[in-house]
Amino acid sequence: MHNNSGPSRSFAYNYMFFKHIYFSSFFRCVFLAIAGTCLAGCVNIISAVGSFPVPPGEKMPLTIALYFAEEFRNYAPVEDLYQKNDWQVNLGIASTQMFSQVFSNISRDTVILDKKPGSDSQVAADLIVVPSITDFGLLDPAVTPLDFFSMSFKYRVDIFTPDGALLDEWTFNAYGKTASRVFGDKESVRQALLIALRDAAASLTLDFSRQPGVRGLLMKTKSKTIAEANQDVANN
Amino acid sequence: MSQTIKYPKNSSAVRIRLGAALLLFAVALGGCVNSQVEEFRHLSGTQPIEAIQEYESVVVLTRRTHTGKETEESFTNCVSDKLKSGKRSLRVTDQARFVDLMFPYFEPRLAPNNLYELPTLLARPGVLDRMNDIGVRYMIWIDGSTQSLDQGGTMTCALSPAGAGCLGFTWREKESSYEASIWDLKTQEIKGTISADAKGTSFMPALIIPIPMIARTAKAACNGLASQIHAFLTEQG
Repeated sequence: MHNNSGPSRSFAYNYMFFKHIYFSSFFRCVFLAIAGTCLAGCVNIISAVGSFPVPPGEKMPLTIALYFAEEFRNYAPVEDLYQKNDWQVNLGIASTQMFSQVFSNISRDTVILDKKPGSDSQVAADLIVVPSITDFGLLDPAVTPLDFFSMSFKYRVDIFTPDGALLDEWTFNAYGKTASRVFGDKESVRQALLIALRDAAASLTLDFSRQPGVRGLLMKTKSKTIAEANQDVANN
Repeated sequence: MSQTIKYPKNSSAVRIRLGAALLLFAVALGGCVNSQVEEFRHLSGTQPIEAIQEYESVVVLTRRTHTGKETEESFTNCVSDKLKSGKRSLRVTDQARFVDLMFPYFEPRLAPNNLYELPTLLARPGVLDRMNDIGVRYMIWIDGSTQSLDQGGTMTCALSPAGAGCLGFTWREKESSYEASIWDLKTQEIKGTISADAKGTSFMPALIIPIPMIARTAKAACNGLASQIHAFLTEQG
């Protein structure tokens, strides 16, 4: 006698139901669409927070005001790759953190400005620094003959006086590379970003004070400090 | 007449034992793979070598460049660890800590490439004081890499409902070639150059299960280089 009890009927029913759906043309289309979207549209998002130590020597006796434009803060270029997941690098967030940390390491005081500095307002700082990113490139070993990931980008730094006059305009490059790892491509790209940020921080730390306008201001500040010190000695 | 076949009570335990035995066998065979280490010591300082004092430390640094193949950080760490261990261990400053403390002067773009750049670096504001605070006497630059020279053989693996297995034989020849340049920060001289080369061939025969017999050339070069550096720094020249 055929047993038509609850659990077995339910199992047969479910089996037939899923079999019907699985073999239906509608399901196949939906499945292919989902798989295609996943394979074609997947983006690996790379974010990093770097570490930029305090350099030896004295800090610059200057107060630096930093202005990060919205397009700089939100800059996240996407490297499109053929038949492979794309890379999106959150470079703006990482660069904002890098500039803030480096300037607090090398200058006496740092101020972050909310509004774009203009000629109509005076900022309580010795210099205003406005960075921007002008170029970005990421090389993936999947599309190059190299066996490492490499990342490079270019910063442009506009340096203004407190009343808004352009003092210096400086561009510098950052470069980082890391060997590709089996099942560890995302970490390799993150490491390349961290190395490139550190490279940029090194250039910023050493070369900012060498810019003609900044050097001139530092010379003035130092001679003023020496004159004040001499005056104090003479008064005492 | 019926025959009773006795199966092991716990077949997974038997499989684990078999796997462990095969692994041990592979490791033992891997240890037999021949690696040659050639060491070369070149003294270049004008003053005799002073044996390192207990309060002085060394730092082992990877020669990093933006172009070309870089020395593996794992190799530098291996040399550092070897110098730190043993009966007459040396005080070794960690590379990452040293590079952070000396930031940005030992970043790939700015690190001194030769001894002539050292006086300029030490003359920069605060650099010499920071270096003295760290207590580093010798800076050891490691350059080189492990490369695959040749490889061959074939192996085929198959998976079926009845089981899976591989059949074949492959081999790979590797060479590890490294050089250590020892800079004395006190006398600002290159005290010597030591090199270690190790060559070996890894094999992987497979009869159902592939058995890798790996030639650890980098490890052999690391051991050779570290023991030479240790002798160089602890023996009065």
